[in-house]
Amino acid sequence: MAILDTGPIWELVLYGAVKQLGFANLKGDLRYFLRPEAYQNCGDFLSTFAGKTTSASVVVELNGWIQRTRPKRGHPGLWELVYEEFRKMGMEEDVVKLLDMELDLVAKFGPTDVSLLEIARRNLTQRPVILTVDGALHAKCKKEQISSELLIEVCNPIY
Amino acid sequence: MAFDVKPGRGSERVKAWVYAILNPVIEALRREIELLRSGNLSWRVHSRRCEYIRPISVLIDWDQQPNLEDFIAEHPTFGSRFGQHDSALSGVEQAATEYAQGLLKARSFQEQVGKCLADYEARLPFNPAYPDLLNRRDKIPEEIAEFLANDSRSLPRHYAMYSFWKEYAETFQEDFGGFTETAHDNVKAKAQELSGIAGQLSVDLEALRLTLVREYDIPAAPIEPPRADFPENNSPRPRW
Repeated sequence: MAILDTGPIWELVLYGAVKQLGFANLKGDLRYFLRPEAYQNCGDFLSTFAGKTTSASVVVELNGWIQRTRPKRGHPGLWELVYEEFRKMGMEEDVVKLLDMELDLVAKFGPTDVSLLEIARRNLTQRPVILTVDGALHAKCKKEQISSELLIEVCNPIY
Repeated sequence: MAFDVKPGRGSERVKAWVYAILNPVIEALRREIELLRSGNLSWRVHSRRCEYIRPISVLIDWDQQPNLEDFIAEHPTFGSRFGQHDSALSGVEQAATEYAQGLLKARSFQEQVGKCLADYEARLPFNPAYPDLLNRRDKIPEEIAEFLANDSRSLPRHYAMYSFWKEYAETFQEDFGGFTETAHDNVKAKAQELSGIAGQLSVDLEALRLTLVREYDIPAAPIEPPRADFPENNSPRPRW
């Protein structure tokens, strides 16, 4: 199972907006899919997982990122893209309650990262892999022996 | 201009027309023309509308509607041309909806979907990368109708339907692109009509913008001071 953090989802949304729908003004916001091969490599990686999921906290973070875009008239379009990615990827979404998360971890990593770790722990039989752009979360995953991949490495595999 | 009093050089009123009306509409029309050229109507079965081709008034921020009304009051021709665009868009959406409904009702289409799904599922044990489509099985006919309406030849690899569509797209396009030929031709004709209207509207709005910026000596886009409203984290700085 692939567990997606906010960064990879946002990058997929941006790429769809720029390449498939012609929103050229968003091109400068792409950080990882700078070449078509990078997007394809990410697609290849994700296609190896039968299940894809994320956390409800990630959706809240996506809202924060969308709210920062201007002009506001673009917000419904960006949300439509997010909905489309979720719908077409067959993305599941899990809720992890605040009270189910350790306070110290939330204070250190924030509720989104901790919810992703918790989702991974709950689904160990499905061999979860967290896909993120966040180096701190990646390191925490390694420490906790939870599989994790950085988007930049998925986009530019060494083989 | 319909009124006798002419706005002065650097007029704020004319800036409002250019920045709040002409710029977003021109930008959206350019995208629309590209989408229509590629055959992608961005029509969605769940909403039965073209998600990325929108009526003109929707392209304008709600708090700028008075400026839209003011612009149309002074340029009434564009008011009727915006209406012509929106009516043509509605025609495309209607035609795409009828096409998809025709497909979904057709027994031969249902049988083809069932046949392809059975074949796909039989291949699952030998193709571990193929996702199990069991939990979206009910939606698959609608998804295929949407792909056909939008002339989608391939899908991004991370989409659940990627492998299925890669395998069977050609079959569906060959068998059903022409199945409801009249309806499909109608979609194409309506899309072509919209494309023509959007193309000419874009050209004329760009010409008007150039005339206005020259005549009133204003920049074509507002010059803003650098923004400092983002937190210090390293997240991207989204701009629509």
